[in-house]
Amino acid sequence: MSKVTFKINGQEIEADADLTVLKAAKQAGVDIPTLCDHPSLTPLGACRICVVETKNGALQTACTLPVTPGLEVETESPKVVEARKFILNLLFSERNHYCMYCEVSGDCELQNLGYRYGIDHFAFSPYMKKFPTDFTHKYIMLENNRCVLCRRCVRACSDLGGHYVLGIVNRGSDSLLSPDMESPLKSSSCVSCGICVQVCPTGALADKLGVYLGKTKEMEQIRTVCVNCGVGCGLVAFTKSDHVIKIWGDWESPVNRGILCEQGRYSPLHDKRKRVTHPIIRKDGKREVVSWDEAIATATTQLKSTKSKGGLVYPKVTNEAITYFQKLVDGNTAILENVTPEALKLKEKATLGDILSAKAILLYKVDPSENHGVISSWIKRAANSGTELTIVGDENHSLSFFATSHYSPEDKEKVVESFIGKEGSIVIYDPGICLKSVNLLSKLQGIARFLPLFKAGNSMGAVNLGLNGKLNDSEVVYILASEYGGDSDLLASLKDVKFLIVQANYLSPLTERADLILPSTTWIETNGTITNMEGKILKLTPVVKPTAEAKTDEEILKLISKGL
Amino acid sequence: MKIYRLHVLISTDSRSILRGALEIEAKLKEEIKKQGLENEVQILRTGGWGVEEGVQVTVYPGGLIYILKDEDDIPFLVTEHFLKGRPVKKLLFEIEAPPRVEAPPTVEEEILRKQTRLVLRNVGLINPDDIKEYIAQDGYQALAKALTSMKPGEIIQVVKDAELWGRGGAGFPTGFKWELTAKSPNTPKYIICNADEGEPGTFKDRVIMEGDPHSIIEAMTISGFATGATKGYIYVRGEYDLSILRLNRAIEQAREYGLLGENILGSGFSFDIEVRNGAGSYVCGEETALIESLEGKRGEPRFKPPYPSTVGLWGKPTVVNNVETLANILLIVLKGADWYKNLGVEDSRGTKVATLFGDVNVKGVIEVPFGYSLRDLVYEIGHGVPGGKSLKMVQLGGSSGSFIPADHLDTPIDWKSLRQIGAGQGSGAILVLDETRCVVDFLKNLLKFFNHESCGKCVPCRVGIAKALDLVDRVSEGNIAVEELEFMQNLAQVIRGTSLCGLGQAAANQILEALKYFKPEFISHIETGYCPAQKCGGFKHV
Amino acid sequence: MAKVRLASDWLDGCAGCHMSILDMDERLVELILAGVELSATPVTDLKEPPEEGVDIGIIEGAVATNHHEEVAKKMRKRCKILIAIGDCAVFGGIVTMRNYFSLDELKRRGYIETESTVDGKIPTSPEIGKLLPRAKALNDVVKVDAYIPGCPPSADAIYYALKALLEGKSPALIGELLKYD
Repeated sequence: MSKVTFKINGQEIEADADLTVLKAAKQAGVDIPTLCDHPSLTPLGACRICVVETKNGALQTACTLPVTPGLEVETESPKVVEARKFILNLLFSERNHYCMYCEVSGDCELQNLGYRYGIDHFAFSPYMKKFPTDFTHKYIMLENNRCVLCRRCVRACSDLGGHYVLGIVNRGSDSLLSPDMESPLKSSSCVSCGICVQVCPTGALADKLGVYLGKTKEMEQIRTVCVNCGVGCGLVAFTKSDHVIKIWGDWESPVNRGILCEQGRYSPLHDKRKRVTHPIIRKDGKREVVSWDEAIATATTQLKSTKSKGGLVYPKVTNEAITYFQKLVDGNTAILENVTPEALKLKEKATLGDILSAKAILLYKVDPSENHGVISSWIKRAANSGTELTIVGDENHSLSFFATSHYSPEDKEKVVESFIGKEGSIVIYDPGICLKSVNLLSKLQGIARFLPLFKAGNSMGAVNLGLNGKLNDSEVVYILASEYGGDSDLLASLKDVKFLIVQANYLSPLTERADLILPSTTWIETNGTITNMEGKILKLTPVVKPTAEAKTDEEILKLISKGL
Repeated sequence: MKIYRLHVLISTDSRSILRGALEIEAKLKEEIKKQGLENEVQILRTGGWGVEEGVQVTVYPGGLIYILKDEDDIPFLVTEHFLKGRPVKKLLFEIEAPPRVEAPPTVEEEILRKQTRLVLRNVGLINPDDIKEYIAQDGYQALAKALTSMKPGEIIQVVKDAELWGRGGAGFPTGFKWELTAKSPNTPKYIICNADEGEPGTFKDRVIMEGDPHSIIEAMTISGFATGATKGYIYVRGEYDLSILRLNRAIEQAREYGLLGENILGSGFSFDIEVRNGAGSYVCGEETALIESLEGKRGEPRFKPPYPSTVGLWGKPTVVNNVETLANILLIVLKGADWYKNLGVEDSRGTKVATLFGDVNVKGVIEVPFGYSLRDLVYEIGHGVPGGKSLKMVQLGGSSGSFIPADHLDTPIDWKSLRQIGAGQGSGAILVLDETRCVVDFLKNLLKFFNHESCGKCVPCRVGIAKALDLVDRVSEGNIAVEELEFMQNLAQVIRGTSLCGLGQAAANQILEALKYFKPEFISHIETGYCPAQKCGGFKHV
Repeated sequence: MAKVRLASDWLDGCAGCHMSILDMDERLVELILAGVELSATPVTDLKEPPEEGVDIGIIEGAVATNHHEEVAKKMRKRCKILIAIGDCAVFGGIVTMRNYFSLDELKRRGYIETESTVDGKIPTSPEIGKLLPRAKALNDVVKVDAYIPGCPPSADAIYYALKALLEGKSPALIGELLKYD
């Protein structure tokens, strides 16, 4: 990148030629205030807070002004400060910006600007015109009276999420933020990814659950990784007194770059399932809460005394736990996810980033919107910027609106043929597809790259550690279930098992069947590593303390293996 | 070919149609038939000149202009004039002007006196729905010349040499704009004709589109050839039904004649045009908002740079030219830069089409060379202020234009002279206000308009205009301190300095200019509560 | 040192700002020693500022009734420097929440529909101030010279502003002292 020399506040600065004054100033340590700008969004130039004065006395917005050789800007000249104060006064007077009864007071960017520029009263008396509010959504509340119309949410919804739900209706001072052109949020096409809330600088969009639960400053921020699907999104949990108040996407995560889906952002906060709180043993058909010592001793005895033991893993557990587990059951292990080993041999593997740069995408019998919201976002974004999207799947596929072509599974051969020659394309597929499909897709090896859409956070790690195939018949079966509750097939297959150990987060049909239940920590209480679907090893950090007597899988397995 | 004794040109622009032009045409035909004159009198549809009232009917030979308001007058007109050859005085277009010493000229001469109709040369003369009439008036000659004997670079050069500046309001050199797009390596390139004429009181572009639609199509095709664009869009104000209809008809005809589409005139150059309707937003007249709207998004301006010349429609290089600017191209290509430069004055070449309206005797669409003074416009072409009142000010360029008080009336209309008094020429609307008009009330109406039309994207415009409107409202009610006028001025300066696009800046200009020229009137409103026009304060409730 | 006479009053407020004034604790004494004389204040329980006037007038609370308007105007007349103290006086504050409702709705909700009210009725006594159509900040009614926002403002902020005035400096709050909540 060629360099450009220009001046900020009289100081000479060298910056990359493609930067804006705002970005170059930031690199040089000069703080220019912003409101509508956001580092992850394209500049808009709407709020005018970041105006700087150029040599000829003109005011220009730093967020949109490109650096040019010989440019000279002042970032806090009297003219600039006066303009900023005026704009702030206009903003404060526009809608309901009374801080003392606002949810985000303390975290609000408008408020901080007011403090910075010494706004100690309203130069214009506020209108107090009543704008609509929308509290219909399960997680998100929309308060137009707090909105500064910065359009961060609109840009995030379209440019980051690819959803195009939020937009502005009406004109001028009547402009309103509105989902799907004046539909209530609840019945809109909103997918509850929550990125709008994450970027809102004021209290216009807020998480319902975290409302009035404190200022961000007073919370602890802990980075961890979501294990709800194979993507492995980085997230930041905001906690207070050992409670998770809200969850944000981690802007710095190379995996999801800030965005999350409903599962990552809201499921840990809205979880109503009943936890396993203590070790439980079934004695004479009755369940009994026992101490950890007794539970561990029972497990040890059972595992020691049997001739055949086996283990099943639901892959939302860490690599470390799996490694211990394999030793514990002598390698007789299987994964509780439908994975066809041959399907994983398709080469080359694609990375998540490839979705955005692919020339063509083939969605082979998967619908990422169901469980892989972030991938769905990226496919939408790619499709919006011209990537060809081909879907093989049901008619009511959630991405069919974005598809260039849509085929039913019967036409799969035709589709695969049509992809031959399409260099730079990627195939996103279900790792549990049948062998016939694998053979079909293998024709595209060398042309396309492959991304298996794993359902659980550490499926890839489990597979890498050798967990696949079938379990040999065993008398004692140990299940690392994490949050999995079992299905009828699994329960049927366990019918003849003499002793069943289930290590789980929640009470479920599976724990109902178990002879020994060991309470394990959920992923937000766990540390360790997982491997996401593109093979990146990601680190989990506990954001809250374990519930009741729950212990991490790794801890429990360590205790048991001590006695073996 | 038939030879007719009389040619009756009936204006069928949208305003005339609203006033019953089609009914009048039917009645005329009926009466002509009744009198057995159908082989002697020919009725022709043309565009209109934008006269204020009634339907304009021009009769040749003689160029007599009738203003017909009532169908019942038609039998008399047909018998008297068409049959017996006696013009009907009471129906003739009358100019309420002081009597002149010299012999009265015909009305047509009177109106056209001092005007130079170049852009409007065909308007009111040819049938806009008939490509043959356009071709008969040297139509598509310029395109033929450009495609067969000129290189793209030469066309750009001749436009640059002619010093043609954009007529949309900003006055950017057209040739330079074309050059930027021509030089950009990105493809495809686009030509957009900005026909979203939303400025209140401005309807010059409509008169051109309704009266001479082929000139726009021809000029856009030339522009496409010069810049390497392959597709053109005409973004027409949604309310301009007739313009849209006629442009579409003209495009169809041009395609039929091989003057548009694939391989135009066998030159190997292909270009096509599509008409797009605006959806009723003033700000979409701003080129980047227009582009957003064309892309199917909400019509809000983009920040500049980058300019559309290099990053425009769908991120591709795009020329955005106003209707009137394009209409000038043809004469420049046909007659050359030197000929064109003879018109107008230094830094402002050619003519300006404008709509003259307000407190003036003769209203309508006029065309004069640059350098013409406002006083001459109002008193010579407009025949002065009605009722012998004196002139208070002229608002030049519509709502986004400039206040020109009476003492600046001798300023010639050209970029340089106007800039010296801190004004711009804007869109070409000339609104004359007489001494009885209240500036506070006028400003209030302007701000109401801007408040309504602000897109709401940037803060200074969205909130600032609303606040300024509040302040002016309070002036009109006398409920404000005189010192607050200074605050109003500061506010306007911030709006002007920080708004994203021209809309906010223009609104602020109105405040600043009103205060610059008429501050005493504001102060007297506040101090005495008296409004000379009885528009403000307590008077409005009387 | 010449006496600096100070009067204060409250309008539609909660007395929280006056609590903050008292919260200056020993610094109140310091101010008094520095020459501040507390004239009519809710603290001294004198009802209105003396006719001969005071140097500094402090008003807490928003302007919500015609009665408040009178008090504000009287204070303005009788003081040299008028300080708006607390979010209600400075911005209109929590009182302005009622601006989103009509007066009828407001009175009905307040006097009749309150959950704890039985057989409520809207009072009509002429002694009670009439509600203005909208609650306003103090500077919408009279000219204000200095502002101490905060809900309530901290004792530190009030002390800072008063001290600055005594020293002939600008009482405008800076840094952490400026708070809206």
